[in-house]
Amino acid sequence: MEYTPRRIIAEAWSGTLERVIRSPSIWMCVGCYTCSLRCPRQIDLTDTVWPAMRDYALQEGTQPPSELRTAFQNLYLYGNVFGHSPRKRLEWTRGLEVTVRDLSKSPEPVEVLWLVGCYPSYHPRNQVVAREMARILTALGIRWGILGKEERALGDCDRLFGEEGLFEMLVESNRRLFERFQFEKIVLLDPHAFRALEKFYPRFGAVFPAEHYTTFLASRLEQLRPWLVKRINARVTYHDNCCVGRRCRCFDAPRKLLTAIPGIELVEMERNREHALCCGGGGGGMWLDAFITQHGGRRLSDVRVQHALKTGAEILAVSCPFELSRFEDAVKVAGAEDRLRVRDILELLAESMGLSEGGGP
Amino acid sequence: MSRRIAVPVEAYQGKITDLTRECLIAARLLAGDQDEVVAYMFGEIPAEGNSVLQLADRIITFEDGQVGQPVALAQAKLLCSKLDRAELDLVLVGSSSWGLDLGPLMAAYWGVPLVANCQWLERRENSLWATCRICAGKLMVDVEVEARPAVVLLLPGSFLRKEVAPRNRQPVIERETVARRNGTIGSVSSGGLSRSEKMWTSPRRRFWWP
Amino acid sequence: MNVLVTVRLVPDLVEPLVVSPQEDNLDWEETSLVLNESDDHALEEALLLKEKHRARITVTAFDFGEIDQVLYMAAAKGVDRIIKISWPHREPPNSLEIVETLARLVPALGIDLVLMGCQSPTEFLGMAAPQLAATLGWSYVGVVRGVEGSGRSEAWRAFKEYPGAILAEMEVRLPAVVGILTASQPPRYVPVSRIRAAAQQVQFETIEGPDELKEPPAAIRRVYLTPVTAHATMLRGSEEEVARQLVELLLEKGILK
Repeated sequence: MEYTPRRIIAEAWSGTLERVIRSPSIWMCVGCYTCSLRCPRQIDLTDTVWPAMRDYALQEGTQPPSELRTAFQNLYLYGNVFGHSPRKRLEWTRGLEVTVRDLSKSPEPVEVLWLVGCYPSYHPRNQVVAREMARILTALGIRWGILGKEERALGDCDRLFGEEGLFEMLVESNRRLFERFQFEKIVLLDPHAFRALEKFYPRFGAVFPAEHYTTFLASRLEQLRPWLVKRINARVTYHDNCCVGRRCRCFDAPRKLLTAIPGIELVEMERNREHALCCGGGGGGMWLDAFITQHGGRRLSDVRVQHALKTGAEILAVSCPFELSRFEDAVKVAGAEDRLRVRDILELLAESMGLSEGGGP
Repeated sequence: MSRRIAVPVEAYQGKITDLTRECLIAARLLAGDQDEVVAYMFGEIPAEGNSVLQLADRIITFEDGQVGQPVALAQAKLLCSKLDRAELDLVLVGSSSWGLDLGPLMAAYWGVPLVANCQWLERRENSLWATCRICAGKLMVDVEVEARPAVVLLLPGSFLRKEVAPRNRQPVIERETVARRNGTIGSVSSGGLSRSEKMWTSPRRRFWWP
Repeated sequence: MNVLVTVRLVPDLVEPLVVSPQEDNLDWEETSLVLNESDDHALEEALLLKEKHRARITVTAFDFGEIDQVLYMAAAKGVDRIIKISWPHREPPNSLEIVETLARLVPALGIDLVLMGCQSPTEFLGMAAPQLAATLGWSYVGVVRGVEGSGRSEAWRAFKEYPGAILAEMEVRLPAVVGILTASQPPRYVPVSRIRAAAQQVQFETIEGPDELKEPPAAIRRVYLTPVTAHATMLRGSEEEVARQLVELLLEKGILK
């Protein structure tokens, strides 16, 4: 990366910020918040400087990498980055044995409005996690509902990409959408979406109580614990995602959930908690692996999997939809499929609760 | 009355395209033994083209180096001036980058029906019925064409596996010279002409799309 | 040089297609629409001509579906003039109706070059681009991948591919209609904020559409979804067995001879 945060500030001082705007560097930030955390002056580079540079570049006519263009256009047209039909948002519920309340068809008051997210809705690997979440919420007796085909992305990634206009458009339509329903809390699987809803939506007058699923379930641990009956005898290491972890300083809730599962031995990677190495999927990085590699970067998920392998863990536990596919790919690249599996915390909980096989306590 | 089915031949670097062969097969199946299939060749018949052109009853070649290049505008004007609409039943063109210019231009010049994206053709009484694939193949349309002649653009693969019984007579070959007037090809003048300035094979550009 | 670009909305193939109960058309009320991809490329090609040769671009569109968003996008990209053609009907215009209106408009606007997508997904009983050229008596070349100026004001170059990786450079004398398949570069992205700004600022000119509807010269007898006859087959076995199955398939399909 030609222009690190330090060099960017230096270029700004010397009045040559245009050089940074024209370089590929502005598209290589993965929004991990490490620079924001370490800045002694607490300049929020990730949430302000990088998006502002990208926005400026777009306004000046600089074309983003083609993969990002496609993601922007898909978000604009279909409300999801995949470009899939909104009508297919419910495909993950096919064959699910628990009741799914589609509030868009039958509005009713619920305790939890669960925003499923684009990846759990459409990506086959993540759809498994969505189904486990549905089972867990139902088992805990929580009255929950989803928005079905009316759900749209919350737009955090395009905000970080610099597409402020697209983000505002999504905020406006999501605010009108959420205001139609009665709920006590919004729960999300995606830490990026959680971040957008918690920090940035209120700036547009869209204030809704929101929690990431790890903190939501951790706060119900006493209710959850009796369900965790099946032992999972495995050494597990947890990857702290950047948004809920480093940015929101939430490190304990996921660990509490993991250690509540009987049989799990939790081990830590060399870089953990606020020092965790990003998986490389945020800030547009999810779609820019080829671009980043072309410009001399490396896939951070490949490096992170090496950290996990060094712990001797058999399971790499994650709590972000991006991380499942990124780390599973990295495990294959490392040739370590027989040594390390990647699983979302929800999958481990559901297995311990005996829900994955359709059973119960 | 014997009807005529015209098949403009598409050829590059001495080879007739497979799509033209499919058009000739389709023409032969429609024509049976009653109607006439005429292939129109721009330039000399390639040495390897004889087996393909056997499917035609007649082959008319237009001899002119310029016409031999695939400039659909000039060739459409030439065919419209040479072909007798009254005797013509159908013009079958392959849906290639050349055919997508030639066929619609001919239909537009004559003011006759055009049916594109055709993957099947058959006669039912006095009408021609075409089955077309549209919307990236997700939708099918059955179309009836009563007016004649009609111009039909055939999709690749439509008649690929169809077999036609070998014919025991050689097609008649006729040669026509093309009058050139002030650099304009054909007897139909126009306000402007597209002509091929350079042709080259460009393997380095084979995968040009990003 | 004055360039005209016509943009059309076509069925969005991401969404399931719905056929009308009479099976004679799509159910247009249930059909989501999106900008025709090759028209998007035609617009991009026009913008490149504006940048390189100071061409003046006019964009036209029939008022069907949410065409306004497309026109605002075109405005945000920097076109000079936008003309919306009134169209108070439930189905989009066919190629005859498009050509009739454009044939009237083109001479009135003093257009030298018309860029249109060479085909649209629902265009099969007539193709607007070559039809327009024939009606105007202009030159036509279609399925083109880019237009360049040659330095002479009346002659331009269009690039067209033929089978066998043959690339032809065609000289096109203006006035001409060029059917664009793809532009010289991918259609540029314009930020949503600029589209929204254009929606606040830009006013469209409007003109009347064709006086009467035109029936296509062939009759549509039935419209139906393509039947699904086969699904994917997983090829299993050792590498040699899978390779053998692949070769057999390629021979059977006539791809290998």
